[in-house]
Amino acid sequence: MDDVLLGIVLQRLDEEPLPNEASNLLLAALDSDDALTAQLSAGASERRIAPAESSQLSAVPVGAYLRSLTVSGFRGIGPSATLEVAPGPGLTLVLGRNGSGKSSFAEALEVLLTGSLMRWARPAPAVVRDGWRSKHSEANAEIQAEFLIERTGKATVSRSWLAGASLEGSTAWLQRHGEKREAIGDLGWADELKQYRPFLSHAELEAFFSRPSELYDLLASVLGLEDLTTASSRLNAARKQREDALAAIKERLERLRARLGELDDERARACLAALTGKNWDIPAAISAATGVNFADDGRLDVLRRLTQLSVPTIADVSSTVACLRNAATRLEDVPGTEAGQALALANLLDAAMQHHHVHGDGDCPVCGRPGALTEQWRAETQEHVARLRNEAAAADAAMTASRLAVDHAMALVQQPPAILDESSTAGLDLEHARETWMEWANRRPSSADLATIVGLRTFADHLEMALPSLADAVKNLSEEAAHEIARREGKWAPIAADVASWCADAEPVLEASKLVASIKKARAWLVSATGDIRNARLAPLADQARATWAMLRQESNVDLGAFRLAGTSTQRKLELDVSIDGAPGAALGVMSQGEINALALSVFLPRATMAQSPFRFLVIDDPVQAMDPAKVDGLARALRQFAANRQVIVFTHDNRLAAAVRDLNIKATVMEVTRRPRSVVQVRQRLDPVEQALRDASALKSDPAVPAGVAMRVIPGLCRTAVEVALADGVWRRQLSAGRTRTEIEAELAEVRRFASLAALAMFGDANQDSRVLSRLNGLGRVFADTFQALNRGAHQPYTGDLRQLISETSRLITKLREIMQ
Amino acid sequence: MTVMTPSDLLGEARALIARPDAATAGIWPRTSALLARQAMEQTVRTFWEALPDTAGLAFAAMRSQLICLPFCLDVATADQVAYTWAALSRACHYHPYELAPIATELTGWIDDVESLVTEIATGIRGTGS
Repeated sequence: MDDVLLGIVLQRLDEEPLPNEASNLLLAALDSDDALTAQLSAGASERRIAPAESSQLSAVPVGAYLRSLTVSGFRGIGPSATLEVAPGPGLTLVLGRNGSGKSSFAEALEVLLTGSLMRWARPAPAVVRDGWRSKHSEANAEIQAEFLIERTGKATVSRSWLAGASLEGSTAWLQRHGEKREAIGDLGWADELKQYRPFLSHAELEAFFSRPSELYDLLASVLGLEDLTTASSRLNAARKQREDALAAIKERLERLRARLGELDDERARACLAALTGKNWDIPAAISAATGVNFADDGRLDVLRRLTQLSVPTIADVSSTVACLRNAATRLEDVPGTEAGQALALANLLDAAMQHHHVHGDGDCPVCGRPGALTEQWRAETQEHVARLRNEAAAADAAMTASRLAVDHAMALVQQPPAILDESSTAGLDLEHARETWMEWANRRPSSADLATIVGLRTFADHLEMALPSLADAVKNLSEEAAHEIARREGKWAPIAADVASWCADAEPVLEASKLVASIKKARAWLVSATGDIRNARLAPLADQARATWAMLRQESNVDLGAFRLAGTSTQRKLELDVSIDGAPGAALGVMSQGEINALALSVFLPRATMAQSPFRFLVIDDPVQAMDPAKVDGLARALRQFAANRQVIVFTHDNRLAAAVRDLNIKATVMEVTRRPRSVVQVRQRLDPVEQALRDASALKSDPAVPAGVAMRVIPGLCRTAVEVALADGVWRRQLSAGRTRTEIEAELAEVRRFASLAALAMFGDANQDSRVLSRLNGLGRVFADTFQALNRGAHQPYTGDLRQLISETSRLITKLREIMQ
Repeated sequence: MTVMTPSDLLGEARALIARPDAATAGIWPRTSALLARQAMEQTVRTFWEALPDTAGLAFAAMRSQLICLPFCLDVATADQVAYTWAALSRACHYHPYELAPIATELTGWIDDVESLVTEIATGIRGTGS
């Protein structure tokens, strides 16, 4: 971007700092679209992009002057007609009645350069648009202009239409001196034609204040702040894109939330909870939707666990029942014996046999029965002990088997699982299953009974009988639970998918929208800075406009105060402080149309003549309409001022401007355009500054009251002025054609003090060749050299010859000089 | 009748504008312009008469005088005189389709004449090249 502008922005950033993130975004936006995109995706706070340099506001562009304009078959001009103007600064008035074709010249120049007419750009009736072609020329239409461009020299621009072509169907080319033909765009004036628009028509003046935003654009565009406004639009686009994305995400969420709300599902509730309020908990929503890391708080878990409920298998139960019954049978087979009792008796008998073995036959040591212990007793007792021991072992085994069987059975009849106590299981009847289970668990013999044969049998019978109903009840419940899960999944799955995809979309949007605050800050800063810089830059233009208005308004009681470019986007407008008779706050509405036109000109003229404009010419079509006579005088003076360094060409049908120019002694070339039948347009020169001086000289000579001494001094002075003007015109034409710049030419002209040097500059392009001037003029005719010398001397001493003859010879000299300077 | 000085004439011109008098209604703008123009012309004549070489110019047509003025006075002042004189001349004449100048316009011109009168009277003389 423009370095000067960047410097201003950076300095302001030092004075009014922005937070890091915002200032980085600001600088990136000032740089380019790509830089802003990069900065936005870099998370904004990371790096600082130094704006790259680009086109600089060049101080003084290459200026162009109009040399001639040739038009055929366009608007009111039939056969080819040429308007020649003196290149270089000066005022040219082109007079012509309405319909004379004068406006056709003005419009032709605009169409030639821009391809269209601004006043046609507004919706124009077809009859106007289609009327661009001359009614009296069936053949091709062509507009051709010759420009003299600083540093380039002569450049011819042409636009032509074949018979029958539409306005848009033209062929245009540019021919620079010594170059190949180029496209008209190679002049590089596209933007400048819009910014400095060197054309202004009455219609535009009238419409000048009708659209505040257009007026704003008109002025804003010349202030060279596009870089700032572009950056501002970039930031705005970035903000809008983010806000729109967020709004879209929010809208999607609203619909999603409505659907979630309809679901009786804790995952839906979890999603809703996560996505309610200002700060969404997107990770929580994702885990609820996808089931990963989702803290299941109840129902679904209950359902899932219900589906997983299991009861003892028939096989398990059958084998346990068989064991119980077997144990019972075995206990039956060891009747009356208590295993322990048999064992104790066996041990006692063993001890008695040991006693017999040691002491031999004898009395019973326990009851004392004499002779009880004998060999026979011993053999019988031995048998008895063996039998006792067998009985004890069988009883022991039966007891062990029954205990084992009971343990197995007890393992089968656990209390109902806790899940069946859940009261929160909506829609499912757990009661039946729970009761069945309770029966299964509790309707069994008491622990004491279990030691008995009957108890074992009862237990076995209970298991056998209760299992089927338990299995049925649990199976039914599991199936119901599974069904319920499936029913819920059927509703949930699509929503879960939507939640997941919403989350995936929302995350980057949320991330991006974090920058919105900074973007807004950066833009607000920029907008305020732009406003200040703009009005600072506008100030000189405003000063010039006020100065112009001071001339134009004459004694109008309307005062033009400050003006500002205010507002943005659709609210943008030019604010003018207009006061009437010193009362401020007046609206444009109270001004007359003439005043409004004058005010428009006051703004237009400084804009069109800004230093940065390459157009050293300025074409104004009919500015005088609706103006008071006094304002016409003011206009003439304003035009004189602008013509001091611009080529100002004014087309008018109103004689008052020409009269004002004459009365006010303003140097101007006055041309007249006339239109004869069949659109034959002719351009005649009526008056130019040279002729004006000669006429003044003649008038003075004809006034007998003018003292001879005065006439002898003043008339040669006027004649010399006439020659000087003609020579200066020649210098401009010659030097511009040679590609010199205005500044160079002006400097050269300012430096030339001697008459002969000026002539040398005009005739040979070199002020130092003054010694050749007289001999050259002598070669053309002695009278020319004599006249030249007389004028040269006349400036220093009274002229003693015939004044009337001097005037006519000066006129001839000028004609001759113009011939050789062509 | 005594000869009126430029400042007498300008004073009369101003008085005329200020007078809400039915007798002068309608004619005051042009009369006032006429008086101001006379003040301008008289000042220029006085300027010529100050030098014997140019004294005769005082009797020449105003156009002649205005043509000669830039040769004897600085060009900007001379231009300003020509402009103001032309503007007042228009205001003096009855142009069928032009309206009479309004008070503020006239006052402005009278102010211009006044400063030119002072400027010329204090003798800002050009070199007369």
